[in-house]
Amino acid sequence: MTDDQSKKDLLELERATGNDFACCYQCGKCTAGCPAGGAMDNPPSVIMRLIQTGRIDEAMRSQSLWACMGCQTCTARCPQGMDIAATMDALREMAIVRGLVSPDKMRKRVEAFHISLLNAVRKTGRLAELALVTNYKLRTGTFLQDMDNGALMMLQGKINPFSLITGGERVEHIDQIVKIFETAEKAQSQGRVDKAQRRRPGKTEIAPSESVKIDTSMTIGYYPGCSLGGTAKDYDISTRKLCEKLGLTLREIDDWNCCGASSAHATNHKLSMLLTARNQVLADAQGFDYVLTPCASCLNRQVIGRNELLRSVELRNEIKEITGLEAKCRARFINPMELIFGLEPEFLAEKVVHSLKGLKVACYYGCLLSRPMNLMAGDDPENPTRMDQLMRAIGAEPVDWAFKVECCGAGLTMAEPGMIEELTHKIAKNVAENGAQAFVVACPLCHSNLDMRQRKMRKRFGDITPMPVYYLSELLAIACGADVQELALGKHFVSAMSLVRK
Amino acid sequence: MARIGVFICHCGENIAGTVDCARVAAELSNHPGVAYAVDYKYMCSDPGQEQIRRAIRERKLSGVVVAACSPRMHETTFRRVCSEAGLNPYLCEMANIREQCSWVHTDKEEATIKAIEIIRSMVEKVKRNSELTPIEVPVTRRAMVIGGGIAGIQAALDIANAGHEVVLVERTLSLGGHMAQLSETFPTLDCSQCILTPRMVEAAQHPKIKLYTYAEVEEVTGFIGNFQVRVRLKSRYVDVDKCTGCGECMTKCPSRKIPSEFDCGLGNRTAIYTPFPQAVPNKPAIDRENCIYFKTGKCGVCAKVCPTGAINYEMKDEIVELEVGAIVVATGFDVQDTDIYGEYGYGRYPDVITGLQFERLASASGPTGGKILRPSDGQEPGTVVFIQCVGSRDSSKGLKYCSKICCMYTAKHAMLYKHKVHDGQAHVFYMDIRAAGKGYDEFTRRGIEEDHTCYVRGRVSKIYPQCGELIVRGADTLLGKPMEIAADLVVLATAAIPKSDARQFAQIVGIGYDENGFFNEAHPKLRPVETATAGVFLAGACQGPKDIPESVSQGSAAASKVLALLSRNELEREPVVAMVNPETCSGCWSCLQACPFKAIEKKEIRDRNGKVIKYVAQVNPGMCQGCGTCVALCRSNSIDLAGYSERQIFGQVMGL
Amino acid sequence: MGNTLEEHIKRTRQLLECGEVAMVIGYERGSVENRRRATFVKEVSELERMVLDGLCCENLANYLVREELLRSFDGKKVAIFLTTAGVRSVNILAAEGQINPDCVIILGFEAEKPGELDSAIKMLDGEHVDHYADSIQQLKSRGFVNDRAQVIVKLEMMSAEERFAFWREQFSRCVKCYACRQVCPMCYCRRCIVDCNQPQWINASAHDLGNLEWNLVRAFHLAGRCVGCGNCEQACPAGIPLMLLNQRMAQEVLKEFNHFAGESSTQLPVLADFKKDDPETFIL
Repeated sequence: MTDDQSKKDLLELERATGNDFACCYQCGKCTAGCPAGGAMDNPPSVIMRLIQTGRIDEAMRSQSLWACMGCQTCTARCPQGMDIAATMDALREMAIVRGLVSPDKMRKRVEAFHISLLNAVRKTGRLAELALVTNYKLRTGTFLQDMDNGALMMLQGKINPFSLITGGERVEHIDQIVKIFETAEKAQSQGRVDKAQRRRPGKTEIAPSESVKIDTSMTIGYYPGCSLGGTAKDYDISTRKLCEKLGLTLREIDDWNCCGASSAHATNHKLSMLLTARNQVLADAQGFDYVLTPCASCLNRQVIGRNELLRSVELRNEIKEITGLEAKCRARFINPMELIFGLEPEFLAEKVVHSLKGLKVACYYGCLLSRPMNLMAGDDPENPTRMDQLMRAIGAEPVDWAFKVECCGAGLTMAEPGMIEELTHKIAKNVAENGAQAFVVACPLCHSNLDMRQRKMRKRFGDITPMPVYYLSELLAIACGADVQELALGKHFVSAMSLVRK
Repeated sequence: MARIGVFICHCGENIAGTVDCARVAAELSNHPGVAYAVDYKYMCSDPGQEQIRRAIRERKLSGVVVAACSPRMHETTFRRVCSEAGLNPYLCEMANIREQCSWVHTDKEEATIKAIEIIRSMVEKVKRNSELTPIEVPVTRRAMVIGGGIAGIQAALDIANAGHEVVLVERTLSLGGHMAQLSETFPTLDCSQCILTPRMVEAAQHPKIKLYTYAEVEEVTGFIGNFQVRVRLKSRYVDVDKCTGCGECMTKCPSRKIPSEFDCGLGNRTAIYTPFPQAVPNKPAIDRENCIYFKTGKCGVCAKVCPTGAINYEMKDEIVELEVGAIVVATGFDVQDTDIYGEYGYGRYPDVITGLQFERLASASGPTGGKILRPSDGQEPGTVVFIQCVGSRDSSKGLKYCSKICCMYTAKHAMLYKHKVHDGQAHVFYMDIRAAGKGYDEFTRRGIEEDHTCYVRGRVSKIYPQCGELIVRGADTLLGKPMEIAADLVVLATAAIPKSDARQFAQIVGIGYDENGFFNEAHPKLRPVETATAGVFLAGACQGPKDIPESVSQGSAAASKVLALLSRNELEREPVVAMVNPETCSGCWSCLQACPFKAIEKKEIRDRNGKVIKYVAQVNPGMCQGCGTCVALCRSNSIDLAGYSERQIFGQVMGL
Repeated sequence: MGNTLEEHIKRTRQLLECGEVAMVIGYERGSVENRRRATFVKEVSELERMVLDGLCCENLANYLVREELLRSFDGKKVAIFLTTAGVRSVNILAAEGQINPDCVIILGFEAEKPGELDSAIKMLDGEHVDHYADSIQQLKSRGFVNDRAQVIVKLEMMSAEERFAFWREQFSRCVKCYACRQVCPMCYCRRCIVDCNQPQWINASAHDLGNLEWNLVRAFHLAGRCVGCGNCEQACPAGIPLMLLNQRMAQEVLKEFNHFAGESSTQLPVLADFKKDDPETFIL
């Protein structure tokens, strides 16, 4: 690799991430906090050092890029304001384009996952989970993986086997989706890199709790995301039920598409921006001020996407060309906690008819609900308390524990179930130590990792008792008088009915 | 009739290399008013100066222009030469033909012409110069030292030992500052209080030092040599003249659970208390907010048991107005609240403590009697993890700077721990080891090589409790891997920050401060203990984080500046001050409002019967710095600057 | 205090009779039919020569700059008919230490059509400068919306050469009579800058560049102090549109520093005061 090439690569990385790599003073805090750090060949600080010393090829070929789960812990804690998570994404994209990927098996599995997911999205605009799984298994030969879980979910109606034939839900303007993919692929093949916002070491801005103001006269947009239509159907049911109980009107965004999940931003930055941009312009055009987005991962992508739309004239032009719609960015995507906190303070208290007294829960926020810190507003990023406050409001007892924002493994759930088990084990151990009986989550991916994979985790480590995993909306809905049966609580993997049936 | 002498310096090749000095001399000797013009190789040298002296005497010069380097270099030199020869020094000016001519141009012809023009305009100015005498300002021969830590004590002692009166004002109940809280000091591992308390006592007993403790400076007015300071003596509710320091009151006080500030919250104190047993003065005070008597009207035990009746609940604050000639600011630093790092759990987990709290644990007079014990369960920790750079060198939290002392005191802490717990494990997470002083690097190596402290290069991302231990998630960047240590106690080396009210205090005293809140020195390299405000000096950590030897050095350095100031009864100030023409002044007060130094006052003009005719502005020559803002602003040209008068400037401009 | 002219006249009579004021400054008919000039009434009998109509345009605050009014006129006050511009003048004079505002009793008035004989006169409430604080604020928030503003815009659209040529031509008519200085309430310097000759900053003779110098310096000295009363333009025998310069300066000061001359009697002068976020820090 010539010096000239590595100089060019460095410029490309700086352009894509906004980083000035000279600012990294190799303190190692990113490596220290990385959930996958122990499983990486070159942990994050080593990747940064490889880039600093011009060994970009070696960085691209690292297996670490594929072990990275995109939790953004590194970026959140970096004292010099470097965006290390974006560096991993940019390196991975460069590696894919150049064909300089790691030969490790992990890479093969993770890449297969991304390809399967994006292929499915390209076909229908939304992710049919069964299609994703089948495709993945075909590519990796992991036929037996999750067979038991899959069968159970089909019986529960979470997965529709016929979707394999019909293709599942689809977006009406599929031509726009195809155009998005084509635009993104073309940009990638031409080596065009979007210029990210320049980053310099400086005081971290934590977004102020910008007031979200909700009242019952509003029609609130609803972006369920792909998993809420399938494996996280219980989350969808309970969210809708909760809103019904609160007297809030929800309306699903017409013709929404998949946000790209982690696969889009992990392999093609432009693709992830365009997919989220389409949802934004749809929400704007349909006149929403707020869009409730129960899935934390979708929310994280949409918030980042909206910020990019506000910044980039080019992106606004591109999405306008594809969809014909203006990006006004008036609609704001929010999570269920912001929704409830946006109501009048006494609102929830008045609707509570059934106290969940005696239920000791650990509120698990997960990695993405409070990141990036300058865009996701309203809570202490290291020790958030909004969910805890809501639990107290309905009589439950949230415990103080240390893993509120530690990643569960997120999108690596298919490719690296073993790693998920290790991470969720650490989380569950801390929960048990602090005396809680159950989890409360606000993300379908966290739920899946903690719930679906719990049995195997318990079997492997042997020191955890079964811990039900509740969705925030489920507990709130029950407190507001919803029937436990209506809420599909029986569809959880870990039995969840007993603790709330009082 | 003007008889100006023009002396053109070659400055070696610096000027002569570009400017034809001989030609310049020839041209200037034809200029009206110039009696003598000559050029020479080095005007500032002895023979050069002698030339000027001789010329003044022999040719009866009425003014001198030295065309050479910048006046900032040698104006003082040449003015002295002139006064030695009997010519008023303010009739001597320098024309800068080096920095402003020969050093910035390459074309010889044009540079020579420019040099001629510069000198010509300066000759026109000097023709209009008047004889000025330095202004004498009386000096109050008393100094004030604000802050009774080691730097302040040192400064006070040095000034007092030279025979001058010193007022030492300390905000807390006792002298000593943070040094009194330390257990042992690096690199010698001297017991901190053992070396400090003799100094404290000396300062308290010195006949020339007036000590005010539990006192705060509220207002400072005036100027160098003549400051007026208002000090509030807060009420202790204990009459210090009657109190013998027997301590009965503290023994009997029922309110015993107040977290002790001196022990950083690790121990408790009573409502009537001295901060520590070796306090100077050893007289207690009542903490009004936590005293049962003040809160409810009941109790009053201390008054009952006091053998000399020294308790006085009715005591009021006292205000003292002092006049001093010089002020030394030695107000010290504070330790940062580390709850800004949610991931470290300070404040949530009792076994995560700061470096200063560790000092209290290790200190023989501390809450654990010098034993290293966990705050949570009082057990001895088997593994202690020390983390350096918590808060410092972190742009994302707003403290970009290095706190200087943490690498050394962490090494010391690790060693102290190992000395007390022989089979304990000490780990230090570091980014660098900054050990630049005398014996410092050897000290850190001793910790590693003899006491087997394990140093890991990397920062820590998270600390959380598990099964009674604290799991520390860090990284070893030399290995390139993350690592976890299960610790019993975690000590954070927190950033040294200015006192929380440093900025407000700086505004009271009238000194500047930087973006972090540390006070500004006049020049970072050459004037570390002076401020931009004449007469106010700095010493110690209030100027920037530093260790004890440096604080002591600065204390002595500030004292030497004060002694220079107090060595005379009068201070000579440059006479370049503004003057008001009271006949034409309309009293519109534009100058008064604009003066950055508040040097302009209102003056009444009365007639013979004592009736006020009008008000005019008047300049206080002691405070005026000669900036000229008022001159520029005055609409009626009623105010002028001596040494740079309108006539002089006009002459200079028209002379070009 | 009532709001009609009669009541104001009654008030002046009252003030003179009870001896609260030593003098009432108002207007009387001038030597020519459509002229009005200042009048200084000390006796009740003299009151009948006072008039008040649309032709009363002169800012009478000019006559307040007297040493006697620093404290009071032998223990008495002065009553004076002033428009809002005149009240602002009183504020500035007070802020600049030239008069004591408590010694002045203001009889405020405003003409609906200034300059026209048949204009209606509205009497204003308030006898002390403090009572006019709100109306002055209203004036400030209205800004400079008048015919002059249009002309200023036209001038700004000219090129620098065209504009210079315009003013040079205007000032070629100036004869250095200094009438503008004489009638301006703000020009109270005991010794004007043009009268300094050691050194001579401003040329005293009347040639167009020297005239330009004088008038520009006067405009600068009025920065943040001119209340737009128009006395100078009225008095100029050569009909030079001096107010274009002064208003432009006032517009600039309002835009850059949010400073409106004469807002209060304790207002700091705009050139001697600064805020940290001022666009140009010119002091230290």
